[in-house]
Amino acid sequence: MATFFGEVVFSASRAIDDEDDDDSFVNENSEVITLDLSPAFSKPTNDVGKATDQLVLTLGPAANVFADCYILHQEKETVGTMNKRLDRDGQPIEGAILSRLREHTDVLLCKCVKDIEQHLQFSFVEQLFSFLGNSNTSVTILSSCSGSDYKTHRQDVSFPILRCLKTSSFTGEVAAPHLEPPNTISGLASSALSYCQIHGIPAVMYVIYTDSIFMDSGAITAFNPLLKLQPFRKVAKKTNNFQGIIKAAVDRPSNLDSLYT
Amino acid sequence: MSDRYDRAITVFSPDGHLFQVEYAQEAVKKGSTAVGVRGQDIVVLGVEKKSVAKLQEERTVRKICLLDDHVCMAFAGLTADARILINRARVECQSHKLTVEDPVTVEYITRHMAQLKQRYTQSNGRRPFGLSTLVMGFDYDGTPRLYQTDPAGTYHSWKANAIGRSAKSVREFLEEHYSEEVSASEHETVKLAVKALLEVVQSGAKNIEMAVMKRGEPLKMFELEEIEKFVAEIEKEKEEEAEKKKQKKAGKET
Repeated sequence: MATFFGEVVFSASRAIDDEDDDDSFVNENSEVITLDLSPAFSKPTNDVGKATDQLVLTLGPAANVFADCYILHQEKETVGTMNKRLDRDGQPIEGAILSRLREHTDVLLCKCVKDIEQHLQFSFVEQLFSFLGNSNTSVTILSSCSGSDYKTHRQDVSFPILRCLKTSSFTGEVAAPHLEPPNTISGLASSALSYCQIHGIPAVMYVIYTDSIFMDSGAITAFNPLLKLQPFRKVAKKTNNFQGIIKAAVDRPSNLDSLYT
Repeated sequence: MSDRYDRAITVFSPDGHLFQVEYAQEAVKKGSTAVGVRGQDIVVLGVEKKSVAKLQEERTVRKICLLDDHVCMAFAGLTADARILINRARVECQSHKLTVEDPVTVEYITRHMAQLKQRYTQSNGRRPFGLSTLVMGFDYDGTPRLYQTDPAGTYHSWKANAIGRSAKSVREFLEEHYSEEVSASEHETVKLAVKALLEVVQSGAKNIEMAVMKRGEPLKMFELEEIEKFVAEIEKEKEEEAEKKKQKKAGKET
């Protein structure tokens, strides 16, 4: 059953007769995701949410490395983390890190470092936006998809390509063409964008379609058109270690690459 | 433009390209460097050794393989494709020996591999082999041979050649330093192969593997200590060269 508008539910096949009693099966209903604030930000007086005008949500390795190269290398403070737990009292597994720059405290960056499972996505989005509580917050979502998911009649598509989707309340400029139908977005990006649409929050989502199954520098630099627009125009500064960060993200350990000798 | 003509192996583009074959040649460049040098009495193959994972058995990661007692090859490109090609070549070597009671010539087995590779560039539902090979050995009349094949199925005889990553710069080095004098000396031939590899191998002897074949003798794989001796000799020569240049420059200035 869909839990929110736009959620795509993949139902299990009834053709499979799974009689095995799997003791290690994790009961999805007991898994939770919680927003744990850092001590400095958990005081009631420190209302980060109300002070935030811009939220940047980065999903996937390309978006995360882009954030590392242009934003997260600057002096920042960790506001909190979104942690997954097997149950309420279980060990936390860091799912996303919320940080903001000391120089620009009105911009909050939420960097998803792990995939958030489908059944946790709604809770994630709800907690994040409840924390913000500021109806004037503008949201930018960065994500990436495989090029094989991109549906088009055109023959001359060359990846990576950047597309966007925005909510009806977003009136700002966009840095990429709109995502053409019948392409759809799924996952946490779609959950967040749908939430913003329902609650009238101005939001824009940028998605990179890339044809490489491994991270490549083209996918990271494909987000560059965003640097001309807010909030990146205000906060983005290219790190001195730009090549180093890209190389570390792109390099696969050569001893694990057994395809070529 | 290439989008329409690069999906099927059997389709030429309007300007005569077979893109799949050209892309296969790109796959070769992803493999580490292999060098072959032919002397008058010796043939040498040198390869850049790939670093192995901690738990991986080093001896299972080999770029130099024996096809028969007197023929050896090194490859660069897709590992799995190389395995298939080597198996086919080995079978052909034995089949030839059983049929005509003579060992294959180096040219014969090279041509066999090249023909196999060419067949895979001309049939539907298959893709080209993504590897180039350097085949070396001695024919039964004692002539040393060195051949190179590529994914298109072409093969040529060479005095010295390189394949794989940075092959172009290694080949240029070989063109500059190869001579009949070098090929006349076994020691100098091996040294040339090591020198050429050191142009592209960062960490010295421990990342180099050398195989030599002399007339009438089986293939010999060098131990690390032997390669280190060559590397030390080459480095000493470089230092002496640099010292001479310095003195010459100082002499000119005074």
